[in-house]
Amino acid sequence: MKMPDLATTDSAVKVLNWLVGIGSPVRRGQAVIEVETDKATMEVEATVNGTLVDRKCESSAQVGVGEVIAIIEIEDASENASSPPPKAAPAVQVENTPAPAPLPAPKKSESMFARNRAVRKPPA
Amino acid sequence: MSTHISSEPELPIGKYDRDLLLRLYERMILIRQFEEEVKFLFLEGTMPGTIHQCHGQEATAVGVCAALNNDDFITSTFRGHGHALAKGLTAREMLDELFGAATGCCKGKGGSMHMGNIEKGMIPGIAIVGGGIPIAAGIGLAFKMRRMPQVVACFFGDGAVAEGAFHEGLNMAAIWDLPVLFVCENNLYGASTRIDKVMKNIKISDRAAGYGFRGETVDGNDLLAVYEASRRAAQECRNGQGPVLLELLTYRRTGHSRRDPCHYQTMDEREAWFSNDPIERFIKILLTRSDIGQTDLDSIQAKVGREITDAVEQARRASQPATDDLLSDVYA
Repeated sequence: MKMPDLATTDSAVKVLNWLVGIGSPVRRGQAVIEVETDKATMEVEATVNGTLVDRKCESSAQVGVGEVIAIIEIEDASENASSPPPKAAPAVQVENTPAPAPLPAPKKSESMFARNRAVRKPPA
Repeated sequence: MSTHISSEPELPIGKYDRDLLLRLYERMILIRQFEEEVKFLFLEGTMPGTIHQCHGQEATAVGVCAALNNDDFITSTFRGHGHALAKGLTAREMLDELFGAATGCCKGKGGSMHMGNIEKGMIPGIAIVGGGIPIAAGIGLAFKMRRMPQVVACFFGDGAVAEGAFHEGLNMAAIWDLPVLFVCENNLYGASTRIDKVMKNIKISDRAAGYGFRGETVDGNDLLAVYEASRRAAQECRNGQGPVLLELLTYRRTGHSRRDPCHYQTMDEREAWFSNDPIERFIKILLTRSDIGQTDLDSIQAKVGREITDAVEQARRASQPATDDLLSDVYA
């Protein structure tokens, strides 16, 4: 289970309370942890049915979006609703994903895009 | 709940075609399950960005769109998943769009807030609050100038009513008698701001009188009341007696976006509205018919569930747009 992108900025999300103990069953849709973003406190729901086997962060920890916060052992893949986590892409690899290749220069409307890029570039 | 809900008198359920009722039910279930699935995709990190969801507002989208013809148009908002599914877009083309795939309804370039399919009568969603209102007036003007029989239904929320675009669009539609069905989904909150903090007169349908056309407030969680009111309004528009303003009273069960925990909705208010759920209410009415049983409803639920599961699996594998397509279909 990863920290969802609940903040409106790239800022980290603060862990407030665990709502489920290690070894306890969790259901898809059940609130597992309470967190605080830069805007509000909220509960985060599990996306699968299973058992919480490990908690990867403690109260008051600052956790980045996409970081693993808990390990849930899935009880039976077929019983989980339609969105099992993708097998080929475990959560921990998210941060290691290489940056996308730079886009080729636009063929048309060059001037408009160049202008937009210039406008968006932060002042030196 | 506010005191100004004017509910339709009990409609004789027996007069409706069984297939129509089950299609309406299926559409509402499709919207609810789609939104539920998307919520989990967001939470597990598969779906990037934020999402504005419409759990609890299924009857407004389905009731209005069921009253329209296939070649009628709608305009939508940033909360447009329900409108799109109600207008006939498939879960497949929408999930592909949410995954940014080239096979999405906007070729992966629109995303959640710009769902649409012109072929199915839905211009891509307009995420600027109130932004769709003058555009709908423009579509109505095009229909009228070309002497086409279509109407356009323009969805917006209560938050759009205090925007300047609301006044301009409604006034223009009024002076030219345009075939526009203005549909205000009044869910009591513009983001986190309760309607009575930003409006002296919270009966939004009253605004129509100021422009010289008819307004009506409808129980927006009563699917058949919405359907009937929309049919009347669409017919008036087709007769050249438009526009019409429909205010549909409803409630969203989730935050404004996935990042909003919705703490501003009081528990009492939430409980009152949750017990007034549009799908639960429609099920109760459906089951009074002797020719509709729980097994019919269960099999529809299962069918919709499979449809969404398949669509998610396809969308995960769907290919992204190529960089060569970066500028195709881009106008500005």
